[in-house]
Amino acid sequence: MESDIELMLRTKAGDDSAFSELMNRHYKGVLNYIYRFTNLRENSEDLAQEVFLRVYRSAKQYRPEAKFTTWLYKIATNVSLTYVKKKNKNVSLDEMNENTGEVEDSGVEISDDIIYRKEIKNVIFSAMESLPEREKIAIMLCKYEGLSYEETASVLECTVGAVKAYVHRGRMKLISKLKPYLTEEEEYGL
Amino acid sequence: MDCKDIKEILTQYSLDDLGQVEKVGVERHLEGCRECKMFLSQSQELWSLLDTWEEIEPGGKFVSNFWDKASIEETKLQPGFLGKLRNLKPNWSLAGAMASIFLVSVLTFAVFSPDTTNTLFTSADEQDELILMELDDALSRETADVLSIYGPWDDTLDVSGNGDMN
Ligand SMILES: [Zn+2]
Repeated sequence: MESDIELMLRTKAGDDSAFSELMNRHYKGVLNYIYRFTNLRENSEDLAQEVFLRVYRSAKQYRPEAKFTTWLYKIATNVSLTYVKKKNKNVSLDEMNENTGEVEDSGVEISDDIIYRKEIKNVIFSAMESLPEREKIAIMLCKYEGLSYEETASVLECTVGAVKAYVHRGRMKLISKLKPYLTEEEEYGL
Repeated sequence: MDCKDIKEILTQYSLDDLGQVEKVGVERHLEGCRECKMFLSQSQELWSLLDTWEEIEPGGKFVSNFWDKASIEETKLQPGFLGKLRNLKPNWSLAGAMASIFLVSVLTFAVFSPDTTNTLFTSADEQDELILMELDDALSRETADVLSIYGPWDDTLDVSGNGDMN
């Protein structure tokens, strides 16, 4: 199988099929990364395409110095952060016009499991969103995107030790934020 | 190691990212500390809880939609003749650089070109300078004989005789 770098070099030489292959490999990961950043399913696909457009546009200047995934997630992080910051600027205005909570289709019976999963998803998103940016990104890349500490360090432009510290600190904060969803002391019979 | 130190490395412990010595230290501490034991358990539980945030499946047309967008962009990026004309904006930095070069050339010419109408150093000045240089030369020899030409002259001296006038 051709490496990402080989495919990117073929893209640089004008072979669009190589770029399609690269997208097939990575779009699901990028899409979910953005989705977890924004918690908005409908915008995630557009933003993921924006990420690949940026990569495609800069293919001519591509030099295979860093790992492709690192470069890709760096761009995805920038696109997500820009989007979130822009969205948060308008959030107070949006909140005024928004209804309370999501409206469910009353004709469909929703199981407790779906309600729980929907709730837990929003709860995790809020907890993650409250973390400092770097802790959040470090956890998302290591936990959900399966990037190594080294790769995450490269995306965040910091040391591996710093990434470990971000993950640890973020994890500690998430424990206290998500305590109601974790087993209590008495339940362990301690 | 106290509880605070243990909690600092519990994440690494649960990710099996500790050296043997530290690992044994943590395990020994956990045997006797229920607080840290529970903390570790919650930390691991949290990691599993994060897994419940399910992935979304992309729509089937991601790649083809991408190429549609890319081709629309390409058309946008290639303007027609009028578009190109509209894009011909004055390049102010280039204009500024050229103006500076022109100004410097004019000033250089003004300073270094020979100016015949305003001569500052005349031939009279040149002669004055030669006299001053001669005096200077004479003083530097520092001999009474040489200096005597400038006086004061003692009347008792025989000036009619062999006065050295070198
Ligand atoms: Zn302890």
